[in-house]
Amino acid sequence: MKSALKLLAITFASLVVVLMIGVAVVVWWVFTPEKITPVVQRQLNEMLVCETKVDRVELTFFSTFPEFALHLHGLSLVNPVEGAPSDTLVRAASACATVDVKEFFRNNAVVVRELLLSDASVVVYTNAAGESNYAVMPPSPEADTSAFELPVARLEIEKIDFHNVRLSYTDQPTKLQANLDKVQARMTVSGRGDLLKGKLHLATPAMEVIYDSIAYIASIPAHLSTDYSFEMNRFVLQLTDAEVKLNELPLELSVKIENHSKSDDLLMDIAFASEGKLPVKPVLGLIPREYAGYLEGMALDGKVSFEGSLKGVVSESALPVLLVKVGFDNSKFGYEGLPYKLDEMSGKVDVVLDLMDEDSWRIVVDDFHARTMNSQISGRGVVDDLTGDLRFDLKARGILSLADARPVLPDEMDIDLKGIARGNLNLKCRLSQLMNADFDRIRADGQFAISDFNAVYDTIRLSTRSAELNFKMPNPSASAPRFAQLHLKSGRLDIEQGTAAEATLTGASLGVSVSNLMDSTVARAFDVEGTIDGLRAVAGEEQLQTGAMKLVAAVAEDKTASGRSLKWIPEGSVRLKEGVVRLSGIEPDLEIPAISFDFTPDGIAINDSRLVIGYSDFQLVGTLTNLDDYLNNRGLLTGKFDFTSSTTDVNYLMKLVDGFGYGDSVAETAGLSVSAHDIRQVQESGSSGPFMVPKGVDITLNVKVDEAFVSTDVLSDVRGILTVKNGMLGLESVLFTASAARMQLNALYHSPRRNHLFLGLDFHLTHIEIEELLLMIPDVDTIMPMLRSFGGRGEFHIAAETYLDSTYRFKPSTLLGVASVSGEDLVLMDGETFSEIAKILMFNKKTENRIDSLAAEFTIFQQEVDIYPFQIVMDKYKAVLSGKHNLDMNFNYHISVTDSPLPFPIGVDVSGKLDDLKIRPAKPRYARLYRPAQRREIDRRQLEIKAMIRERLTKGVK
Amino acid sequence: MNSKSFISLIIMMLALVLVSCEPEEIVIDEGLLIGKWQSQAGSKSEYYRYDADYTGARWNTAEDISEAEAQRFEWTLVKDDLTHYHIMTTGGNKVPKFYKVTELSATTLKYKDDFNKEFHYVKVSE
Repeated sequence: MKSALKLLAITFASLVVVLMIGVAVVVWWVFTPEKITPVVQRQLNEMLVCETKVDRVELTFFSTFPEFALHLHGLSLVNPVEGAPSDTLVRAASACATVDVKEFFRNNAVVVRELLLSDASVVVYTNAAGESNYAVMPPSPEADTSAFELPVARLEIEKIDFHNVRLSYTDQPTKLQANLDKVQARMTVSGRGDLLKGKLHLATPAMEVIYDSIAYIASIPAHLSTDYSFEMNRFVLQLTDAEVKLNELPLELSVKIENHSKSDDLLMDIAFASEGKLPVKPVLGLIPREYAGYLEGMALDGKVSFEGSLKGVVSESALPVLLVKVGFDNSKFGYEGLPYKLDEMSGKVDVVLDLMDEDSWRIVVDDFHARTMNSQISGRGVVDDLTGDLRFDLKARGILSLADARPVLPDEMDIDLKGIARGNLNLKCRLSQLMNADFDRIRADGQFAISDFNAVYDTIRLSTRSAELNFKMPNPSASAPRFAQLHLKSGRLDIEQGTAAEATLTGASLGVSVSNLMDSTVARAFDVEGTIDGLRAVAGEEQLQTGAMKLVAAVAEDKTASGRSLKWIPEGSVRLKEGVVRLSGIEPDLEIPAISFDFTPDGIAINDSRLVIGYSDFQLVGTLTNLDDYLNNRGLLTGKFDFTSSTTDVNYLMKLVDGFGYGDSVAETAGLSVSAHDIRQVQESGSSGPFMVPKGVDITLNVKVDEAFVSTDVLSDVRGILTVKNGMLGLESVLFTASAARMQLNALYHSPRRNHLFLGLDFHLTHIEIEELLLMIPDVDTIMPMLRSFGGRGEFHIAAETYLDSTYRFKPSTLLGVASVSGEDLVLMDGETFSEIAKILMFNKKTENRIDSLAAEFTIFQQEVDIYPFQIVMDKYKAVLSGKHNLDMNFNYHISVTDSPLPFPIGVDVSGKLDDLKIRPAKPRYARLYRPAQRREIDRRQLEIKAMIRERLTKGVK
Repeated sequence: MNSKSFISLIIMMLALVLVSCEPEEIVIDEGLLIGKWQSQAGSKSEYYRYDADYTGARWNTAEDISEAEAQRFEWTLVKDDLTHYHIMTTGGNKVPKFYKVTELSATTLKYKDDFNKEFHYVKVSE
């Protein structure tokens, strides 16, 4: 047995040797390259309609053992097509096919063990006319409409290897181009019927895919490992479980491409996804250069994942839809010129591109979160019109640290912002609108809750614990400026200016409607409507406190305004209640129970204003008009007001206003209670000097005061007109009652220049106690010092005028005046002077000191007071008095007794200073039984003057 | 001399005396008054201007008043009675002042009031 086995082995070995020798003979001597190369060349020429060339063909056995292989060197297929980058379809330094002959003969199966292509270039090209360079098979004599089927029962290609192969595919009709360089690939093919399937592993250092001149994949390393199948009759290509690496980025890919048999359209269903989260920067490198411009200036980092699909029909009239879902996590974003960098950015973005309808391209942002500095933002939205003017529809919400606003504020604005704003922002706009600041067409609205807000600008601080800010663009109200509507609401708002002043607003609610204030080409406008529950302001010792206040205003720009006309035309109203003003050095507080006024472009209408200070209360109602003419020097600012008061403390009000414009010494001399602070303020403001009556205004106050405190008197029922008109201040027919006397005052003050001020007055008192008169108007004692000797009720009229210097001192040379005093049943107050005069005139000691009547007229010229002769009737005596005195109380009087029990006339001269009067007997100047109305001719003129004085002074007395 | 002659002499002398005591009538050319006069009292800062239409103006430069800001008056000159009617701006009242002219020449104006207070002016321009 052992021998038999040995013999069998020797026999087999011999057969193998013989076979090998036989194969060697066949390969090296029978099928030599020189013999088979022409055969193969001839077969190629017969099989293909293109130009073919093979440099050398070898039949190999030992290198492909145990299979025979046909090895072609220098293979080229040349088929020039117009437009092709090369006329060569295939050029290979080496091509080798190993075929299992046994399978072919036994099972009618073509089993290619190996198909190798090395150092080759394959250029597949179809020009715009549909001519392809790969159409190298001879055309069929007749159309083959039968279904495709493999000519063999089974096709197996165990291995197709590409080594250093350059693949180029160009299809001009579909504008598709692909180039793969230095391809290393291995592929298996298994075919039954019309189905081919297998595996493919491909690697290239540079893959390029171009569509419509845009390189969607631009020369990047690529790896592909996939199972594939291809149904030739249905033309269904599928890649399953494909693993792809683009630029070393691992992707998952599945592909199904089907040729629609009837329409010849391609049905494409491609799905792809990143393997896990990928670094952002390499992913961005995949973005076509044509779209990279959108990323210019951007800095992105972090992780990103994505998945997507390309689904749809590819035909002459249809293209598929590309959907990419991008998820990013813990990413960072920065943009050149944008002062903010987004950190911890996460979210999901869907990119939807209907390749057939660019107008529908959109990016859907879902669940976006990011942090920048100390702020957090999140949101969602849609961006579409991607190939045109980007359109945004965003809904954002955020928690914003207001301190983060610092980078967008101007450098020169030294403002410190703190606080948190929580809220939502909805924005609809186009990119061009943002870039061109075309805010008119932007639609936006937002609601923010602001907490712990604190803003410091220079010395001003604004703070609130909480506030609400809402805005809408454009304004939904058609009747208001359309650009935007804002509404601010705060329970408490504090404003401070250093340590000098502070203010607190409570219950503030402010609504503003504005036009585009940044657009100066159109008339701008804004409406304001706001209320506050209360205001408290403190500046040093000054305080202001109010109750509810309401402001309604519409302000519109007048583009046609010129000169000094208002360029911003206001119209609206203000209502305020329960105001209290506290001023330093002034007690008590100024109360404003209510004020209400409307304002228009041409003036103000005060509907109601009530003020209370101390014992005084006022109501001011009226209108101020003609503002535009006033501003343009075309007319006077005209105002007509009713000034109504139940009680007015004139003394107190004078204290309020007196002293302003004077130095300390003047104020002290005047005995004023105005604080030094007030005086300093006036001095520092440079406003020292006399009161200069405003020019260009015509203001009239119709005064009605029930009770006015003046000096120690109480004036009742004060009625009259106060007018300020173009540099003149006038009191017209001011009637009042004091000390049971009815009085009337006309006065005029104007200020041509600071050191030349005019004061004129026309004053009438009827039925007044002379003592009260002297108390009320001490100057009367200077004009008529003899009045102090009389008691009782009389009437007094005076018209006087003078110019004043800047300190309100008389200019003596300008003093002019006329006066008259009269009375009946007066009592002569007994005094040392009278006693001495009575002694010289030999009055009886029993003479009743009652004066039946007195009617005296005076004129005042410069320092001189002329007393025109007047008669005094006392008991049995009648005397005539005349003379003059100076305002420095230097007298020169004469008294003549014209009727007395004495048998002879007698007179007395009174001269000298008040404290050193010389009273001497004198020859009577007026004859016995003299009556001022029955004068000598020499006195006639004086009588006429007296009549004139009295007539003029009493004319118009009400 | 008989008593008749003595009586006649006395009568003649008395008549002569009486005639000589009759006040001399002063005739003043009011045309001399027209012009600008400067007071010679005090700081000589007071000015009067008499216009031919019987109006006038007065001002005191010491009180920072210029001629343009002068106060108006009306004047009459009857024999030696010079009357000023100072016109008040408000109400149209007039304040009269009566003087007796004691000297009026082309350069000098003197007058006095009822209390013999004298006023002396020098003409500074026509």
